[in-house]
Amino acid sequence: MEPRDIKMKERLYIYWKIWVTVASYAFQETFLNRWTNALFLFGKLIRFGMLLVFLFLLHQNISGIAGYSIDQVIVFYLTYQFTDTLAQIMYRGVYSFSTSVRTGELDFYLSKPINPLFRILTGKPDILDVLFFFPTTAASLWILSHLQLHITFNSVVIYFALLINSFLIVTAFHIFVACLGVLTTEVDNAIMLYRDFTNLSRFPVSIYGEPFRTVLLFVIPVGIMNTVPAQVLMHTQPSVGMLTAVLIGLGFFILSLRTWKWSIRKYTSAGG
Amino acid sequence: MYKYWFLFKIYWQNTLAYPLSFAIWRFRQVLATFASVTVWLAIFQDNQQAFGYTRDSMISYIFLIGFLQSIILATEIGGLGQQIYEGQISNVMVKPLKVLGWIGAIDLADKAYNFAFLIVETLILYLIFRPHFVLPTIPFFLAFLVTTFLGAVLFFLAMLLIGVMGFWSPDNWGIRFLFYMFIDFTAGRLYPLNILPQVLQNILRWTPFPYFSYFQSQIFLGKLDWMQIQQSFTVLLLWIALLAVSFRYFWLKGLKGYGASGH
Amino acid sequence: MIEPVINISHLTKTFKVYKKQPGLLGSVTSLWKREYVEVKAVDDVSFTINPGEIIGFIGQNGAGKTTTLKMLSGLLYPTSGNVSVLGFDPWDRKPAFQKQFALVMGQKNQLWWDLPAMESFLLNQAIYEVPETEFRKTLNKLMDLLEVRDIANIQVRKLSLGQRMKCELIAALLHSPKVLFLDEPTIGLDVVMQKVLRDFIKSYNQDFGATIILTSHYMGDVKELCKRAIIIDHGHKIFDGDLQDIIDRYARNKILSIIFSEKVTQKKLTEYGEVKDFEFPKATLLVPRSIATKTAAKMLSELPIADVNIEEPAIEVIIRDVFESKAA
Repeated sequence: MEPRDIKMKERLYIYWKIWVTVASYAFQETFLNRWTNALFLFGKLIRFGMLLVFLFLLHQNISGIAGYSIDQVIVFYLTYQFTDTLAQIMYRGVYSFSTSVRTGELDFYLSKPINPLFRILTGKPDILDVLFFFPTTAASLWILSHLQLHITFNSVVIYFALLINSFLIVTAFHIFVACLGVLTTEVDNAIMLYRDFTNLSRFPVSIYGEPFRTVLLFVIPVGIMNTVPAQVLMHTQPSVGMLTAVLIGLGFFILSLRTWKWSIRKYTSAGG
Repeated sequence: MYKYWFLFKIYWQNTLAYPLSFAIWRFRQVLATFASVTVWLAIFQDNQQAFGYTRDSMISYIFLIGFLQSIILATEIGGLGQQIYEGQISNVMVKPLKVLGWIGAIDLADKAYNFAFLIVETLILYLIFRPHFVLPTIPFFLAFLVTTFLGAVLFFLAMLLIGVMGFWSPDNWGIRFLFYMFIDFTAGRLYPLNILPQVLQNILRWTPFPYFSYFQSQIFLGKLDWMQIQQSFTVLLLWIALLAVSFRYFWLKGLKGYGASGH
Repeated sequence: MIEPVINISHLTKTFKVYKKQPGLLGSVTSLWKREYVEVKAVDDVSFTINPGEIIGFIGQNGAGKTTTLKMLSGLLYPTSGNVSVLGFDPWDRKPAFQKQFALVMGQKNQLWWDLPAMESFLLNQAIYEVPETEFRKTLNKLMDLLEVRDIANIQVRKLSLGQRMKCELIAALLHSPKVLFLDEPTIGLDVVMQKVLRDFIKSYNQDFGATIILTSHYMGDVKELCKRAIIIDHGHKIFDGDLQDIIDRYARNKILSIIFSEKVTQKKLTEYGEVKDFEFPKATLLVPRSIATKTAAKMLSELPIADVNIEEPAIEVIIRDVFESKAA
């Protein structure tokens, strides 16, 4: 093995160890607040179920929305659910970032030999999100099997490939929020705003009129994140071409990294 | 009394110190209503009727709910539980200031502050979507005002009750989250309560949740007759009484066992 | 006969504390089983305080000092016993009582973080119903005493810790309280700031005649400000009297700090007293109080000494001795 490969392997191993350690602390903390966490989990299940109930009721009563059958609309919702849950598993750290900045903990991240962005984004993973992921994914698959859809093996493969692009966009969003946290005190609001925008993609973004639709595809690309992969999966006309989607995803991601570099340079330490 | 008015004013000043934060909050409220209206507009593009609502009546409903929730559900005391747990109310307790008065003044200030902006936003949304409202007659409108006020009181009590748990538990985020999910469920910005199966509706009518905005919206939209209004009104009052009594009980109990910790 | 300002008798406060087993298994079992332990934070404490006194509450962490203060402020409900401050039962939290005292806790803020300190001052004026002229007079006097005229209009979160502490004090004193409870007021401050605050507290006591109870970890605070000290250990009051009494009674030794100009053996030093530290050119000796000065003179004439200092042992040491002798 080349020395460079060994170094890379070592680095990756170190990052893995850090993630596991932080995760196990977070796991232990979960038991300290047993009721809170149980309630939280229950609340998330209600939220998930509630939208499904709504879609089910629509299914009974409505023929379609904006040219899509209700079955297809459900696929859009489940895609959103999938990327959203994964994002929360991976990037819970941003939700407690505002405290870190206020207490000056950020300085510790910046002065240690681990990429601070990694610590900020992935810090404090929540076991509940993982617990939540499995039943909801299973439920999604079960629901999907009962829907009337036109899906082929090819489209599934492309779907997952596009989801990788979606994950790039998710990462970029969280990096932007981290930038806001470094520059201002508004990170909590920013993260909530991000959630609100992704909520918009529970339904296909083509239902929104212009210029809003363009915004959701090219400026705040939640449409690329959730709508386009599902459209491709179901062999319907995607709102943008796949190549465009990938370019936007990559561009957005690179932009977020650049912004992060710039934000750190502007950063001043928390006062005494 | 002047001291509570001063508290009210100082709260406004404090919020003004973070204009961006407040702006984002208001933007999110507008966005939520905007999103819901858009979804229903899309639904009614291909369908004339859905769940017994026409396009106009559904849009009116969404509009109204957004407005009501901004008033009734605006609260500053979500953090009350944590403040109690961390001993921050000690500062208030040592002063000639009633803790409940302090909480009330701040909550009222928050509602008033939100309301001022809500008027502007509603105007903007109205100009975009132009919903067709059928305005209620005077008696129904009065009933609407009264029940809106009582709905706000009910919610205030509910938040107090949740907050009082701060005497015993480090954080009540779990309960609050669940609580908000239930509210969404029963009078969501996305769909009205009565598209749910009748069985569910009947159960929910006995819980306090529909009285946080759904009940009021139905009065305004003229969907209830006086008999129904009276029945629901009674349930609303019963819940207010129950929550008030429970709160008082736990509040006194909590104070006695208070550790004034956090030092 | 002077009416005491503060009177507590047989005051007791018990807390229930969770015990958690360590480790992950402990975390999981805590889901259904939790053990309680009853802790007596304050155990049968009684004392009286007269108007104008400055009292030092001394004790180790968790001894019960802060708990006692909180009961005196009406924050905690006593498990048993009587408390009377200015003739009131603090637990009633009557406005008439609250307007006459102030509680300042070192680590806790009462100032609004995002607004200038002046706003918090005005808020307190409203809360305590202080008339305008009196408010202005007191405010000006306090601001001059503490030299904060120019920072009152800056957002509190932009101030340094020392400046914030000064503003916290002002906010607490705007209603000219007769009784002042200070809980660790100088904690985290630098030496200069500690002195400033101590001087201020002293002048406040002299100018306003306020009764002050002070808890502190810094013996410097207690030594400089308090004539009388109450020592609390594990919830019990084990000493109540003049600070000087403690020093005289329990400080058996004085400390001689010596700097030598030439080498001396440790053995030689033991002729003069108990050698606590010896690393050339410095040495520390413990010498009985009565002969301390004489011994120092003897050493100066017999040994090559560049400098010598005679000191009281630190109060912490004295107090530790007090605890140990009580335990014995």
